[in-house]
Amino acid sequence: MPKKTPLSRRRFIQQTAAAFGAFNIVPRHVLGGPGHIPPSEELTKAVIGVGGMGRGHMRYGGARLLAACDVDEGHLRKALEAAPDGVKGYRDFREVLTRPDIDVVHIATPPHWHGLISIAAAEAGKDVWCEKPMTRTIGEGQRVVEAIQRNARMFRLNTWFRFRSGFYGFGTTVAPIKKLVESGMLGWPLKVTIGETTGFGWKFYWSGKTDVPPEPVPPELDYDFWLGPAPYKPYFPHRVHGSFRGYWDYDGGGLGDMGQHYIDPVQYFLGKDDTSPVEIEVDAPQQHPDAVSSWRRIRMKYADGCEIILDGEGKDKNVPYIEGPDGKLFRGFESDIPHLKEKLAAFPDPEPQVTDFYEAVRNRRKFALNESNGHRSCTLVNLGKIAVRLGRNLRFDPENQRFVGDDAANRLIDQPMRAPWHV
Amino acid sequence: MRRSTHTRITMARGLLVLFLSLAATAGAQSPVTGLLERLPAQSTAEANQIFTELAALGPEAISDICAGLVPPGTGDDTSARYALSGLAKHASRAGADSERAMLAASLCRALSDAQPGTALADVQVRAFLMSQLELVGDDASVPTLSALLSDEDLCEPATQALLAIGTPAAAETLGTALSDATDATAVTLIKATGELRYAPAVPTLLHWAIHPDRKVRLTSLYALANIGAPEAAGMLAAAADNGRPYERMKATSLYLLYIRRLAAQGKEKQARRACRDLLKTHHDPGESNVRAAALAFLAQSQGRTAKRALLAAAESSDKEYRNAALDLACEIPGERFTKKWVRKARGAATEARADILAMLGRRGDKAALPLALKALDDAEQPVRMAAIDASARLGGGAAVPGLLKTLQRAKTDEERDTAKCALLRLPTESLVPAVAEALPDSPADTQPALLDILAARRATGQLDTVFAAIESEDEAVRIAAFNALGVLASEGDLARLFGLLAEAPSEDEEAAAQDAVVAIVEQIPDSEGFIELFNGVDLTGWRGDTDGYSVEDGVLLCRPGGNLFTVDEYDNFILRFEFKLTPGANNGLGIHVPAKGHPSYDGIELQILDDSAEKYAHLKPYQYHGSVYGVVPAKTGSQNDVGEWNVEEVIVKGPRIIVNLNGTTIVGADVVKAATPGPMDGHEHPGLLRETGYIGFLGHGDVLEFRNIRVKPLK
Repeated sequence: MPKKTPLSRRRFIQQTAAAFGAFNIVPRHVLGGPGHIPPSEELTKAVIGVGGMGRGHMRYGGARLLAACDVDEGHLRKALEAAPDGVKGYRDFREVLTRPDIDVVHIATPPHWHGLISIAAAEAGKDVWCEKPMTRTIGEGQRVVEAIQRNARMFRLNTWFRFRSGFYGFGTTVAPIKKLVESGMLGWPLKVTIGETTGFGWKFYWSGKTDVPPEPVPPELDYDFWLGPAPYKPYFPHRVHGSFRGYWDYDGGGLGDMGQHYIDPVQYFLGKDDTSPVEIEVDAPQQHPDAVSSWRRIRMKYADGCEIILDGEGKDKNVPYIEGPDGKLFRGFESDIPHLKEKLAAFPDPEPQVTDFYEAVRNRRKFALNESNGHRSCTLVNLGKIAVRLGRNLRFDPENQRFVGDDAANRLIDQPMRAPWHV
Repeated sequence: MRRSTHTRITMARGLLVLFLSLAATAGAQSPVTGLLERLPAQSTAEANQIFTELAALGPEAISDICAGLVPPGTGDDTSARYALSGLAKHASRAGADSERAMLAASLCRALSDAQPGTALADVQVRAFLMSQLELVGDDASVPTLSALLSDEDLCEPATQALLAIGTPAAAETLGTALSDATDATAVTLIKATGELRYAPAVPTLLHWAIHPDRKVRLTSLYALANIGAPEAAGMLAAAADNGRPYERMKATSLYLLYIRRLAAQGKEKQARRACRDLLKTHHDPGESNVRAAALAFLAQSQGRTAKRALLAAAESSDKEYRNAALDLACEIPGERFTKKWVRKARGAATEARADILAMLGRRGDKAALPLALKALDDAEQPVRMAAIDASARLGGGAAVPGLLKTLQRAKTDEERDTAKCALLRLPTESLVPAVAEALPDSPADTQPALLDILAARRATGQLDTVFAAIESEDEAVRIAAFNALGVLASEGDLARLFGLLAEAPSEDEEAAAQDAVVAIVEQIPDSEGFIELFNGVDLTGWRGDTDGYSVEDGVLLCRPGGNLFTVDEYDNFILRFEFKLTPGANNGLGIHVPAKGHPSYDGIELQILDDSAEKYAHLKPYQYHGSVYGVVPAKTGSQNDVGEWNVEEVIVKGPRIIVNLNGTTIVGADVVKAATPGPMDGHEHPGLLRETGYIGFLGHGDVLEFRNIRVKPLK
């Protein structure tokens, strides 16, 4: 990470504070609603997958936890020990879904289960709070969008940078970046570079191991259920739990882990929530069929010329975060446009977003990051994964969500599931 | 982790190379060996080169590589797996049909020719080969895969490859295998025939659909529904009306799938009837998702009458169902439809009225604007809240007067915040003049929001309006006005602000006024009247212990030294400098220091100290870095780590001293007041009353560095 001089660091903190101090957090009630809810109408939730992230979901405020579910008895036992009284444990998520007293289902399993459980929850009339990345394949994502919308469910994906929190090295939320893009001051089309220089590390330590000898499955783990729709492969510990991201069958390494955190806000401020890129270019070493490793660069280009560059090397230390024909924005909200903040103040604030999921559930208003835009930003992750796996450039049709002129790549859009699982 | 993987791969290459060398005829090394040594390829270009060459070696080379596969845990075949999967990816590119067909045929041969007892007969090895066929397999691969479907261990991976191939031939072979399926292979084959919608399997599927095992039964229902088999309609409807919770839930979703397939076959009428039945059978409050799905289907298939259905559904007391209808309506454009909703809203109950307004806002037809503006006066708060959002969305600048009135009349903070946020979404040219005009006559509880809006839009033209608000009798208004001045005022207004700061009647207001001063000072660039006190070359302009300080690489080094003073005196000023500490270093910034006497008492010392050092674990509050020594304690926690540069700014105006360290104000006080009745340290500080003097660094025998020292005198 290049060191900023203290002067410029201080300057940007003050400039951004002065420029955006008056930026208002949109109040939780901004889209209207029935006001406060008496305890008798308290929402209830279940958490599926309580080994890693799920433990955090159990503690999220706003709804009462009634059920925890895991295919690893050890995980479940630990989770229940930490849970309040009255929380029931389950091995099979389908049993959880039959409980009429549960409103919201949190899904914190590995990604190869996200699509299946989201769809099953929607069909059971539950609202869904799902971990990122949204789905392991583009096809599963499409099915989730359909199921959520058909069943009129509320869905939120568990990343948040498009609507709150400081956005990595920018000293602000994404709101002023959205405002800057909408102002047109940078011109059009824009090129966004996501990499170490601009404040985003790709976590290549999420790599898999090759040629690991199989080991006996621990008695507390229902490994067949853990694999679920994924192809059967002999068990070894690195394949599951804390290190599953290193295997293509379940996720996609650092890109799977961080991709939606990093790229979803970009999709938001570029206004690409209902489309996808048309070209994907990749520079990566050959990938192992099972184990994920690193890549150097992935470039995705939209039909209007906007580009998102995933920079895995961070070699160019001067690359701007956003580059347009009329101006650049660097990490730390620095820009080559003089008096940016004064100019920006003249422009209206972006549209408000629903930022409290339980409020979305109560009022039936789409959450800021929902099944629809979440599927599109997960598609960016999945397009990158497919290009890296195949080691070739691809063309994509955003309307039909199919690759153009590459039948094999299309086979990776809907990967076969192991029976009886289907979407 | 990556390093160990790499080592492993290198070893793997060695093993495989050895294997291939032994396999090759004596003396002649297989050309495959050399290519495999280069795997994994480091780039696409390298991969293209290696795999083009490998493919050119033909089927025999591929079967050599296949022969190098071993069951997991019995040896290292990593480079064979890299080679085969790399070949599959390479051959799957567009325009490489003959290469792909050759590879697929070779993989099939390895599958069908495997001798019992060899590695190629191992289930996991065969599963790996079949997973490569998922990418490159075609109709020619179907017979080989078909032969494996009766094997209980291989049925699943073979089926996955056939599903990926996905052609009618693949479907047919799965259907044929289903007729001979055992309990062990049935679920796999049922699911696959259903997924590929293989209609000739329907009779067999109907048979499996009454199996005692729930998994078999439900999988069969899925297959029948996905195929859209009319023979299964009764069975699906009955299962969907089943009392057992999971089966009812699952079967209902399958029944809805069947209905969609039915419609796709042109049987719209039947499909609609089935949906209407579902609306009746699934009336439980927990099944509003089913009713929503049925409604969505009806709305999609009915055309004009769909609009009536949606308008009717909007009257439902079931909030989920009602909003499902509204979401569907949101997607149907047309002004006439808008007007129907406007009429509907007028007669609707409170919650529904709010929901309809919210929908009309999202829908974006301006024909709903009059309704939204009128609803700003609705008696019910939830409706007003929805109206605020809809007005901003539909009205743009035209919504300014209505929203301003709403802001002025708001009874709760919630409503005020919502109106303010809505106003901030509107264009500056309509917004700012209206807000400035409304400000003086607005109620006191509204004025802070209006001042915030002027600040957010940097309405520098409204500076007088904001200064006038400083005269308000309401403290919250005055504080908001100071906040706005921090953004809108400039250097020329500083004297006036210092005056207001000196008179601030409360701590909160003093803090707001001081923040405004700091914000304005921060905006003054170095180029605006700052004088370099240190030229970066020598000690020109300095006197005192000039031997204790030196200049190294443009930096002023205290090596260590004692006191070093400016040649000139300064009274009111802004001083900017940077410093870098060594562990435990102690120095001080002298201001208003007289020619004679003790700088810390006869002048003023602002502490410069590594207060993180262990030897300073028991400091008095007025001894931490930045403190007006002995008189005003500084806020701690803003110093960078020892060895990093810190940026400090000191503002001195009369008795007012403000110290800003790395962007945080750590001291802000009238030092004379602070020392009344007596200074914290109990010493005499006659220097506090001085109005001018020298600036200097007060060395205490420690090494540290300074740079970029510049001062701007204040009038």
